Amino acid sequence: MTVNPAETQNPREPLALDGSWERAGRSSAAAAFLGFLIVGVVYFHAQAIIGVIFFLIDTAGHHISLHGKTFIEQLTRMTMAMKGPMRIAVFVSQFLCMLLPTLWIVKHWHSTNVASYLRLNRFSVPEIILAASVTICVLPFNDYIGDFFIERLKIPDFLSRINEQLFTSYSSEELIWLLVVVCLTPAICEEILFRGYVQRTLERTLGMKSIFITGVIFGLYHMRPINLLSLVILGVLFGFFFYRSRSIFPGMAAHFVNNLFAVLALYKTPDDRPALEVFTYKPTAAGVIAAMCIAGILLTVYYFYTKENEE
Amino acid sequence: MSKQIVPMELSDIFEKTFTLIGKTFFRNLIIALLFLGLPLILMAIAADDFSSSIADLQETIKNAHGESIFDVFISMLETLSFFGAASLLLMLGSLLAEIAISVVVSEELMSYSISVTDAIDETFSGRWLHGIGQALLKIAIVAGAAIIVIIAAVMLAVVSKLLMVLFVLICCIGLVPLMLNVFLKWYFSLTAVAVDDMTAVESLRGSWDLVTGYWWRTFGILFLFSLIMQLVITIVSLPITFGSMWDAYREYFTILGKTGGKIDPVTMKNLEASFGPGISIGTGVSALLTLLIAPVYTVVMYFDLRARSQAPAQSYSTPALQDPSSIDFDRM
Repeated sequence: MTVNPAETQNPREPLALDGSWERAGRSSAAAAFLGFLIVGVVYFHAQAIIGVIFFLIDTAGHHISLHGKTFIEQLTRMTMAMKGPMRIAVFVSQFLCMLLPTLWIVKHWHSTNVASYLRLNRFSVPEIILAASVTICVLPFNDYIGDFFIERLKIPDFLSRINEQLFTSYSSEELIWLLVVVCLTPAICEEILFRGYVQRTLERTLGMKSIFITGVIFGLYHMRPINLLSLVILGVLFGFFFYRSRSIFPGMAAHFVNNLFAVLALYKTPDDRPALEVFTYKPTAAGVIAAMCIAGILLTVYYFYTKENEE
Repeated sequence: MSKQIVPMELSDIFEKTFTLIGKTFFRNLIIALLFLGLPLILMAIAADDFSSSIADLQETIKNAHGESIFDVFISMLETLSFFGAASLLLMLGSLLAEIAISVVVSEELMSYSISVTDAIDETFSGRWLHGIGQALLKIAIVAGAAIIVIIAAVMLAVVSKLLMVLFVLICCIGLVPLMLNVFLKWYFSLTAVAVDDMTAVESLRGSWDLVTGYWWRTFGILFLFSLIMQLVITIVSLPITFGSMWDAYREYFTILGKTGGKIDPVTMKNLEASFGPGISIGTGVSALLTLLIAPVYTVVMYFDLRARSQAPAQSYSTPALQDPSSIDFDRM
């Protein structure tokens, strides 16, 4: 069995690159882009199909009127009708059509030791806490960027509310379901695809550049132009955690925390008021700068704390 | 030193395509911008004029009498002609750029590096005429077939309308797979012109011969590539198109906010008129990305099919496999 000590998390446990792509000596950068695109094609098509199927199941037997007097009324009705099916579609398609194909690609193209290739085998609590803390400190800045574009574009409130419906919960049961769909599922599936596979594979030839390339791909993949910059920043941040820690878990924790704050901010009472006021708090410009300074300090701590992982 | 291209596995085709896109990206981008720059600017102006004139026409039909409608209609025809000319120029530019890019990619595949100027020289050394020729031949054959069907349908209509309807129905059902078959077999004709400097007729025949026997394989790979390309174009062009339509969107959202979502049709039509340039930029980015991807995989597949047709008895199961012990892991 051919092994490459430089490829391992731990030199004492060498990783076997025994997949078909590796044995043929093909380019790892090409594998990263191709793998992402294949999973992307499967995922987006499957999500649309699964969404429609669950919508049909959901509406079977009872009539749902999607007609409204105005375009906004129609859009609201459509969003409300599609909300439930879309959540199921996201949950099912992320696991079946994003995670499974990624694992298949890793196993067949790269290494039978999938967990080791994806860096699923190293767990450090301080690194996870640090990564989550940095993400919390970056959140106000990302919110600020998002709000900046929304303000410049003059997007009306009612349209923003419609857009937020997918992530809004009105009961504790709905909140728990959203925590699974919006926080846990992407933290596992997207991190394994983007950091575990794409960045990991690009890293082998591009080193640190892989963090930025994967961050941009992560931003583009979400197809939300207004949030592109915030998503790229988050992608780069998660990539940095992955790169420095040689483990996928800090990035997963950071991703989970980021989405968790968004979901908790949109947890509402039945009369449409925020249930947890603290998560809707918008800091001033000075507050954003202060939070970013703390994020910088924590990142530096993270950098030095993970120095022992450097090969 | 040039290398011998052997038949490839699916993974080899994908890997070579991605590697070649990376290696030739900037040269191909320059070529694409050189050939598409002017047509795209003209298209943007034409699309702007066209969307404005549609809004004018709708407004005039609603409010004015015959003469004004006639004037607007004439002005719209002028805009349409301009739009048509710009589209034609864009098609011609795309064809020339595809030839030049195919030349760059094919040389790179054979381990030679060719400059942009050399690729353009090669394009204008006669290939461009053959390229236009093969395109015209394809159009003529399709148009000819369509004319024959129409004449036959008209003749049948004289005898019986039911017969004509049946004939048209059978033609439609039969023509779709026939056209798909024919177009797939001619898919590599422009690549044959660019890579092997074939004449128009030779390229159609050459492409037909290459695909024969590998139709389903070619269809499957091209289908996969088209899905992948569609995803790339969508995720890359979406923020660019959004950015280019920023002002139009802001105006739209402002009105939406003021009216609570009840925009009157006239305001909406005026808004639509300002979408033209943004849509053109989106179309331009899509055209550019298509040019940077499609010729690359077409050339790789062309070489694969050519290798297969030259060595039919060879086993293609593991042509590029290396002995694992010989893999240089230092480069990974």
